[in-house]
Amino acid sequence: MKAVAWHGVGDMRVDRVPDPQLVNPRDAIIRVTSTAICGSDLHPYDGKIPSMMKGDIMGHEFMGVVEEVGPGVKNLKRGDRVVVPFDISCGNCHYCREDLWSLCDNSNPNAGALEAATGGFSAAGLYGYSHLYGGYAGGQAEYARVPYADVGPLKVESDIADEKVLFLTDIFPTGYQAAEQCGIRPGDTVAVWGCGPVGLFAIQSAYLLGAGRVIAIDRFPERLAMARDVGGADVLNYEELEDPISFVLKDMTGGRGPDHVIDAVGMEAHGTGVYDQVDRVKQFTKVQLDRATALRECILACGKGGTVSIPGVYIGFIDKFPMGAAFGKGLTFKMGQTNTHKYLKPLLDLIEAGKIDPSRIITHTVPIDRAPEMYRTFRDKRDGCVKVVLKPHAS
Amino acid sequence: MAQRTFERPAYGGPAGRRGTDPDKRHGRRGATARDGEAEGQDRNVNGVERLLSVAAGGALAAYGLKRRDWGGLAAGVVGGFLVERGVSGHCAVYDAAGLTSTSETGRRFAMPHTADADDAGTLVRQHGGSATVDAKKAKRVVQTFTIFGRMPGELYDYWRRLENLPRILQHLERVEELDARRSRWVAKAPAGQTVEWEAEIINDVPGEVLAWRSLPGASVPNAGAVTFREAPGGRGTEIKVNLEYEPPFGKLGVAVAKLFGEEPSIQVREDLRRYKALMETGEIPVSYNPGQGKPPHATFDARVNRGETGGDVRGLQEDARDAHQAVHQPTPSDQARGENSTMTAKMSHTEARR
Repeated sequence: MKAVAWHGVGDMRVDRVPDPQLVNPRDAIIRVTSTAICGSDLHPYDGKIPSMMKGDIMGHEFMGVVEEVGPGVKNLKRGDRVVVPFDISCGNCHYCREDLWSLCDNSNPNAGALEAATGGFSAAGLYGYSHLYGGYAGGQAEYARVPYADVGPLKVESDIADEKVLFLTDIFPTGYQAAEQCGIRPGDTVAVWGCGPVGLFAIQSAYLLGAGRVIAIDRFPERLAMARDVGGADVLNYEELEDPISFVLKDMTGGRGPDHVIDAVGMEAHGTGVYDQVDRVKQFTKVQLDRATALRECILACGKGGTVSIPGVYIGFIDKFPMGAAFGKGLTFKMGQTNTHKYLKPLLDLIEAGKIDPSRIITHTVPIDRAPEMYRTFRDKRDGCVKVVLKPHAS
Repeated sequence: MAQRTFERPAYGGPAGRRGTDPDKRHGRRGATARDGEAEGQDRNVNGVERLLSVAAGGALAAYGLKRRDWGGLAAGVVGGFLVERGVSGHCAVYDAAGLTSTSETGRRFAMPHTADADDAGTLVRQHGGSATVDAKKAKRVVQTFTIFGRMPGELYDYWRRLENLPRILQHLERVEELDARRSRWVAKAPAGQTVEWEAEIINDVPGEVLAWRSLPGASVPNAGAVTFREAPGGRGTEIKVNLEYEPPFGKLGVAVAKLFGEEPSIQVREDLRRYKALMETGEIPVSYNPGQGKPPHATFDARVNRGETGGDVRGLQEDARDAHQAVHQPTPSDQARGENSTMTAKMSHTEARR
């Protein structure tokens, strides 16, 4: 089959590889009909994720049709149309049972090495996202093996288009969880750093959850336009601001600051200040893996008693953490990988009820053969690129 | 498709109690054997004193029950304690005071197995040829996991059927039960070698503990125990493995094993992880594609150590360890230039002014 494989920093290729096979009783094989490039796929593309190996198949946002199931899978059959959550979760361990699916104890065969690398904890295996996260083949391919298929994939019964439900696999639930964990009360103001796909879904989710106003922050005009037009947010281009963003946000909110803030940027933040330069040097020399400009701004800007919600990915240590501001304002921090399974059904219902149309953020739909070029376009944010959908079986 | 068994592990009735005559099971709190006889490792009350303790405690408790007032309650509690230490042979007061009324002579090898006994260096090691594991050379491994949704009894039952173990102990090729107590173990060793030894079970309390030691002639002398304890809050079972072994070729052997990722502490950790996965989910997670050929030639940890896993994973692991150490033990220079110490100084100055 054809698959998008990692071959090094900035080097994605479409390889011919053997088809996946059933291995465990609870596995299924999915014929992938649509798959997307996620913003977090840019981290391995940029060489920021350790334990990527040549030939690793990328991709954790995919959906398709069930081709084959193992004897332990009773709820799916050949021909069912499913979306697959990006976190691989067993459904049996304490964390899965608590709806903390991304913290699954069992799905990562390399959990021990991950524990050693993180200083003592592991997390769910992920599709196509390094060997520390399990070394599973991803879904940017014609076929994919899905472990624990009896608890993961969500069956889509209606004939709604792939494009409308594909993002249930990751970015819609990720944005939704980011907004949900703010504990928004009616009329609250929420500021969102980053208007990439996760930020765009966080904006829309914040409104769905009752926010009165969302302020979106980015530097790319096309993303800000989408935040305004699709999300209905007030937008700020931080490169055009004369004052620090926390001052500007305070001015915009009667001196209170936003009630909640969302860091939808993560560890590869682009910043303008002197700390950003220091961070870049540290990141380059591996003293510090993460650049935390957005997170620091979030903490400084958040209003008293508010929530700092962090869907952006961090993997290492950061410094210059404004702990005094966080403590002084009595902030709550909520973060982590998305517990996708928890959100699949309720969010599918929202889509089918027409409350939200996730397909509006798609800017590019191409056959899988064009994946390497689209990785570049997406990384460089050229051609107005916000979200790329790949079609594995199109030619 | 690769040949794999698809059934969930079968549990059945209690498989334990095989080959353990009743008096051996009295060593509930310990796995120490003296001259082959299982006995509580932390037993610290001698036989005569135990009898007296039970008798006196019983009398005191009866008296307390009769009085039915606060003084009676106190007498009852003290009486109950005396009975308990007499029956178990373990006295918590002696323990806290570091006392014992038992004799400490004789051949001894020891594996603590209760979770409360094995954390504080209570492991008793013996020197010389009569010990199973020579204390001067011994390496110790302790690993623990919580297995959700399973009770100690069923986990014990699966483990006690020794022929199940090669499914979860990755380096084990097979186990043959020679008789009710003795078994022969064949394990894979680094560089394609195998290691064989005979072992005997020295403590077997169904649903609680299984302890073993290798018999003379083992190339890697070892003794160990696996304990099962119900986790608090309905979280299933806490399982803990305690293992002591004499690494072949001493420290050099340990270093080489580390290099190849075959170090027992990592093996035990990964084996317990597989056991947990199998017991919780009915399968062991696998991420390689069998269509692409054989599974990886070595464990993931071994491949990390050999630098085969892409990026500097080893470096990341070392950084994480260093960072932990730095957090726990700030260096004097950190403290000297840190803002915290300045702040603390300022605050204590403020405190002083008040």
